Amino acid sequence: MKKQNRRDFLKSSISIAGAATATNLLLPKNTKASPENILSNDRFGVLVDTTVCIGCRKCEWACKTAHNLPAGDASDYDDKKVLSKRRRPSPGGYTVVNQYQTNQIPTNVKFQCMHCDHPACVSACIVGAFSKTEYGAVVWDETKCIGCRYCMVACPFQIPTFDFDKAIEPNISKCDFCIDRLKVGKIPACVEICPVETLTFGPRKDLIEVARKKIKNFPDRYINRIFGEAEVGGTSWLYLASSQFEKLDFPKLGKNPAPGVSETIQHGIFAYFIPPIALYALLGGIMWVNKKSENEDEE
Amino acid sequence: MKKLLILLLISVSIYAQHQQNSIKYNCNLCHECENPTKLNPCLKSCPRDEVITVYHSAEKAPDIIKIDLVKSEKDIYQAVNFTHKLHAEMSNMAGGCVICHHYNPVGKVVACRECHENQRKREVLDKPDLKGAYHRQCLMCHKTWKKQDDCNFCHLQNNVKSSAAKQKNKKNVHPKIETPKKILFKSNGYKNTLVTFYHNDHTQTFGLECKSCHNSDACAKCHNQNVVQVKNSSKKMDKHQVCSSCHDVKTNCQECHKSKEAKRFNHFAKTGFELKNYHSKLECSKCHRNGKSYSGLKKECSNCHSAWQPDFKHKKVGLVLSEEHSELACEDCHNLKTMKVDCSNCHEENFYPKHLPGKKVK
Ligand code: SF4
Ligand code: SF4
Ligand code: SF4
Repeated sequence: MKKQNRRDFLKSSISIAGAATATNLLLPKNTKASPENILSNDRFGVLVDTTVCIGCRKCEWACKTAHNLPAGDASDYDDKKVLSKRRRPSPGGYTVVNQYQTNQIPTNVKFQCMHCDHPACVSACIVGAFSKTEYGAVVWDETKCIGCRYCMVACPFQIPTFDFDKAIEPNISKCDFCIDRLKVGKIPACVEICPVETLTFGPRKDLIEVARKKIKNFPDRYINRIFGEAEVGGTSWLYLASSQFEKLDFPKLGKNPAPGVSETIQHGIFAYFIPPIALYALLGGIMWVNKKSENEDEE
Repeated sequence: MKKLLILLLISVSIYAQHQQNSIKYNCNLCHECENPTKLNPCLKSCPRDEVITVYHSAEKAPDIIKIDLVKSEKDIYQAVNFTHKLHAEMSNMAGGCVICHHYNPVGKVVACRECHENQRKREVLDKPDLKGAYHRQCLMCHKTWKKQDDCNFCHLQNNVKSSAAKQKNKKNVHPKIETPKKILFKSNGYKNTLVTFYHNDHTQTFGLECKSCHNSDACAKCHNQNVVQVKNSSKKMDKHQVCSSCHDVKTNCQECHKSKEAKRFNHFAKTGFELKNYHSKLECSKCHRNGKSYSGLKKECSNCHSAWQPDFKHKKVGLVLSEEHSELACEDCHNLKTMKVDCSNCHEENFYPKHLPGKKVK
């Protein structure tokens, strides 16, 4: 198969857009996607030092509590057996801690939305429900979400989750960086509760300094890489680890913001309103091919 | 007036600085730049143990410290009553106070809160906040062995009144450590591969405390054999170094490295001089006085007892002389060469040991 590079991909999307021009007039005004996408210089981030995390899962509890999800008693989280399951964030809990047998001491890794600087979810969302705020948080507007799950497909970290039990009121859910807390000057609930301060909250640029210093001062403790500094164009949440990130289930990603292209297509398509099914299939195909060729590029 | 005050302040501060200068310190131990000022002290990140200058014995340390400074939004757990003294004592075997008090320049003992802000949302982010610092410090050891990194191991949960939780409040004491009698080391650097180490013979004979040798062990050494600490990992005890304070480890290899397991040291079997009574209680160096060599002494008592000590306290040998006997000269009863007791000068033969010239004491 011909390897499709980014430029070809763009070209194909332009031709689709062209074909769609005719239906332009059918577009309802407010559906035109215009996501707010702010990359503030002072945006916040969280530095996750996986070498200190003890896997107490208090962050999971705090996250649920802060988001009015059924959380149970804090002592329910003392069970360490679940750590070895490969859990993923779900509508019932936006963050999970998994354990990896790396060195002699296991490494615990907390996962949640990375709050990308160039978020694929923002680009992929056809109704512009997603936005990157000046806080650094990537959030979405429930009232706009139509449940198409494009964000799920687009996200390089497979973060947005969809409550399949509630097909009637489709809604995507994920970590929102506790934006409501940030707005009133508080720190995220998970950061607040962490006993060992695995999670350091602060301006992203300061966190990078802190991370660099740690790597420099403790070269035996950390590998020389800050995950999220450059991956997919940078993420607000950053990670330090003592072993290769790929061993900790982090996806292998390039430095380019993966979805820059899909933004053009999807918004374009939707702007010209091509009747759905066939197009979605085509689009899915293109994204799949694109993602695949991206991966090949990395290798 | 104001000027005068300022002048006074300056001179005081210069004086104070001068005072400090009398302590030999290398500025760039703590400061990064040439000329640090108050506004820009350009402090290096925590210099940790390099500047430790305050040492205390564990006995002087506070017994229990209640750690209740950290307040969270949701206090799931109660404050911890930290058994400080117990931990200080245990630390003797794992590097000492320094493993927790990793920063302490001249002056009093620096409390954790003086460096670690009790505030998670803060500007200086390169060291953990107080809550993080406490937990990391404790967990550095606790997490290396199983079951002891549960929150409940140290904390009581708030609003839980179960008896199990209450029991936790009992004072924890480290159980008695069983010491090994004999350890057989296998070495592969030398043709004779077996080193038999009679552990308890060494500790008893030489009056050693655990920490005399085990001063850089990690708790994990005993508590979780298959886990190696990431940080502060105990350096592999250099066995030669420990032995070398008494044994010649450079040239006399076969003294310890044997082809088969060695028997316990027996003074009589090796030298023909049996260590009984008073002698068995003596440290080796009391008789073997010339430094490191333990050979060369003859079996005769006169090796040590060459001259009578006029002020010798007979009690030392476990017998207090009665009043009349204490006035006698040593040689009136003892044979100078063998120390044998002979009462026949005054009493009939074989008087001793049926009758004693005083009272036995311990
Ligand atoms: S991790 Fe996924 S959901 Fe989160 S901001 Fe990035 S693309 Fe969006
Ligand atoms: S930032 Fe907030 S929403 Fe995200 S994982 Fe932490 S507690 Fe949950
Ligand atoms: S609260 Fe902190 S230490 Fe506990 S699992 Fe979460 S990140 Fe790890």
